[in-house]
Amino acid sequence: MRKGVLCWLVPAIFVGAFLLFPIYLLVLRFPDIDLFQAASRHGNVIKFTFFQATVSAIFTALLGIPGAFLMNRTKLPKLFKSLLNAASMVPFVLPGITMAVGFLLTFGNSGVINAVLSRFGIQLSILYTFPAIIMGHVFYNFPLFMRIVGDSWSKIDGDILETASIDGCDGWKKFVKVELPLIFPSILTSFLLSFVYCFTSFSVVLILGGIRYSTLEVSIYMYLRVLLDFDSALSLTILQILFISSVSLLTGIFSSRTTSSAGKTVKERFPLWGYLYSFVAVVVVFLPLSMSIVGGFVSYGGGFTLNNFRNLFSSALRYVLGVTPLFTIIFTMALALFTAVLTLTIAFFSSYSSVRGKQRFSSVVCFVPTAVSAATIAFGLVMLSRVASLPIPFLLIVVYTLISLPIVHGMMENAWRNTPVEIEEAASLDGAGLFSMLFRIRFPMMRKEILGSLAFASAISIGEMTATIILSEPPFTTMSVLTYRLLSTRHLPEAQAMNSILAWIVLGLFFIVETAGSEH
Amino acid sequence: MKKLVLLVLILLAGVLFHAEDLVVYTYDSFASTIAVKTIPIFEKMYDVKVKVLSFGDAGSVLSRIILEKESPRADVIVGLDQALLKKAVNEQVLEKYQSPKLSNIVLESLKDSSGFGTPYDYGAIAIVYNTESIDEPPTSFEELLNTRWKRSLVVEDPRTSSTGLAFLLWTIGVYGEENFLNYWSHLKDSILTVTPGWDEAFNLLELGETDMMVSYATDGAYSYHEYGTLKYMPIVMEEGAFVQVEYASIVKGATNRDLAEKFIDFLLSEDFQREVPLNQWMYPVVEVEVPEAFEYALKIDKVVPIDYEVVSKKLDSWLDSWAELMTAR
Repeated sequence: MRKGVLCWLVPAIFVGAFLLFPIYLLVLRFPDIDLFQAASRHGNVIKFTFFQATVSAIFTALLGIPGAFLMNRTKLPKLFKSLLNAASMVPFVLPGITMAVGFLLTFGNSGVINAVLSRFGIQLSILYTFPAIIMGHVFYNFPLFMRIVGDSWSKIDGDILETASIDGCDGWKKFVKVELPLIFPSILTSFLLSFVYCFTSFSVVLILGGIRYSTLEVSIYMYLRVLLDFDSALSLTILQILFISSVSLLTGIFSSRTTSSAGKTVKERFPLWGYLYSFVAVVVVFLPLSMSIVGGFVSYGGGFTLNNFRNLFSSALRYVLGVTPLFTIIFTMALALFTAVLTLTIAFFSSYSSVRGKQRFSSVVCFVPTAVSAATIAFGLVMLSRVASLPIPFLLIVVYTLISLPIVHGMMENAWRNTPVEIEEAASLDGAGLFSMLFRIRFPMMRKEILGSLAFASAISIGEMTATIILSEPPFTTMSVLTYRLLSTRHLPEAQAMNSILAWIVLGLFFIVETAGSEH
Repeated sequence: MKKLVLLVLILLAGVLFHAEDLVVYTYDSFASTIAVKTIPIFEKMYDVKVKVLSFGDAGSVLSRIILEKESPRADVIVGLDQALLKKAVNEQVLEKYQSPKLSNIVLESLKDSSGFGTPYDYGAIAIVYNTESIDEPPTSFEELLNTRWKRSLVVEDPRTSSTGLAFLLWTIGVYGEENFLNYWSHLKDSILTVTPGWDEAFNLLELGETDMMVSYATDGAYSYHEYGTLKYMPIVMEEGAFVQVEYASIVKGATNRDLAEKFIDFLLSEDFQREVPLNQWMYPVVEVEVPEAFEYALKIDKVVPIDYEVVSKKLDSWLDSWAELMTAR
């Protein structure tokens, strides 16, 4: 029997029961599905969506791969590295509105860049153009490369690299001939994930690019949330599921298995081009990121203030209905914890079957949730709870798990690739049972990826808003519901302050993970 | 066996007791502000419990009602505007109700002729400008087309934002379904950008990227009351205001019809209406004292009439042609 044949059942059952079956229930209720008409009516939008996703993913790779190299293969101070690594994860969990503020404060008319350039008489207007979309997507998705490609890179056996150097293979040649083949599967995984996220992105596209650039997700949003036309929304959703499944199936075919054994690691001197790269990365990623966090200090009417934080605490108290703020925080954190564990468990099996068992179907199943917008997932679960009564905290954990699954699956696939089969075989020859194999060999070797996955899943669950507000009911209030309440009562500055706090929490979370993950 | 019977009885009692509760579905900001202040009064008046559940914006709430059509849980839905009310009526999820208090309503035009919705407040969309950087704001839709306002207005996307949708309907009301696209083809030059929602547009205003945006008639009152500033003020448009009415309705198959009626009557009472201005930032529908801050709210004299029967039939094709026009390079 091939390995992992049964393992793909784990993600299949989960995605089937909580995503596909609810969508089926929605289709039963709204049976006027017409895929052909949906495709022909949105032909141009689909073409543009595909185009911008491809270009965005390519640029993300161009910025992400060198970043992964610098972080993992060169000598950098450890603390600096952990901090940088943690910071580069934050964009992924920032809400669109916070990101937008960061970009405005950086690239806007009165932004930082123009403040500097205006001294030289230059005015840069990059917002509301196609390049702005690309920059937004690079900003959001480059953590995927930093994380997944970076993990692979850090695990390349130092002996291989040293041998290559001795044989006169250096620099670019060593990268192309030795390292690239080893990290290629992880590049492919990251590329696919960023392609998929760019494909379904809509707030980045609308906020930074403007109306001329709208994606398929904008149309889905319109049918679902504005026209309440479930038939059309479902048609487009099913179309998107079919498309993303085929893309992930195709990518799976090229993603061949490579195992690099993790022996000693070799670090190189920080290269000269690294400084130029760092400059670009600072402008595109770290400047907008710091500005996003600064967003909490912009007052109503412009200018900087600390008042937002004070107001936040007084109005937050008002909007935590029937429960204490402490309960809200504890509840949010508990959901994050359960989500992280559940997602990791499912991804552990799904990635095992896709890497070791070569069950590509397993990856396809894990990618399906990216094709379905959070609101559709939530409405599906509303239908499901008409059939089977399910507690609200459970529904929330299910949503967060579905949303985190694709990334965590990608990260865990990488973990399986980086864990040499030889060591496992040796251990099993030495009589290691299933239990000691897991806890003595696999978990310690995957430590970095496991911690990263847990952090990712919990951060996503803390930040998710769309599905949360549709599903949550008192007394179950999360921090993102609170943010929504501030936004919906026009307390925008206070909401920004709240998002700044969330960004700090996420930064702290990843920093702890980074520090713990790099210890040996 | 006795135990089992007892258990069943207890469960039954639980269900019966539970049925006493009135379940109200509404949008989030209603639940987190005005409901907290006024519903305890209603609960005391009739010695009942009211369960207020919110699911995001009014569109999400109606979606939920539509999904739950076969086995409704809500008795009352609060917060449908004219367009959503029409949608709800077409989906057959509401019951008719004629409140005896309807006669107190100040404006006849606020009443719903179909008999399904009871208006409890109303507001208006407005173009809001930065008073520190614009001295003479445009005062009509025609004037907005002046090259003086090139790339200076931020509007919300009607496909993703209720504010944006209201603005689109406003232009349709002013120019008619034949000519509104022509108007937008000129307005395009005055637009800096189209944002997915009100929040992003307001960010642009706050950060000085723009000086005008599509927002609400009560923005001046709001910023005066909350932040003590009159930096952002609404403009009175010559062509007339776009009025958004919010309705409460009884859900079809409601288990507590009696109580639901009483609840809707309560929304028209002074106890509730008094709280409308400073919580909803909308105008009350009956004669009550209005707070001082509302001196800075737009006065609504002239209203642009909109036929929502036509809207419900044509909205998706209007949105399609609007998007086609706006996305053309």
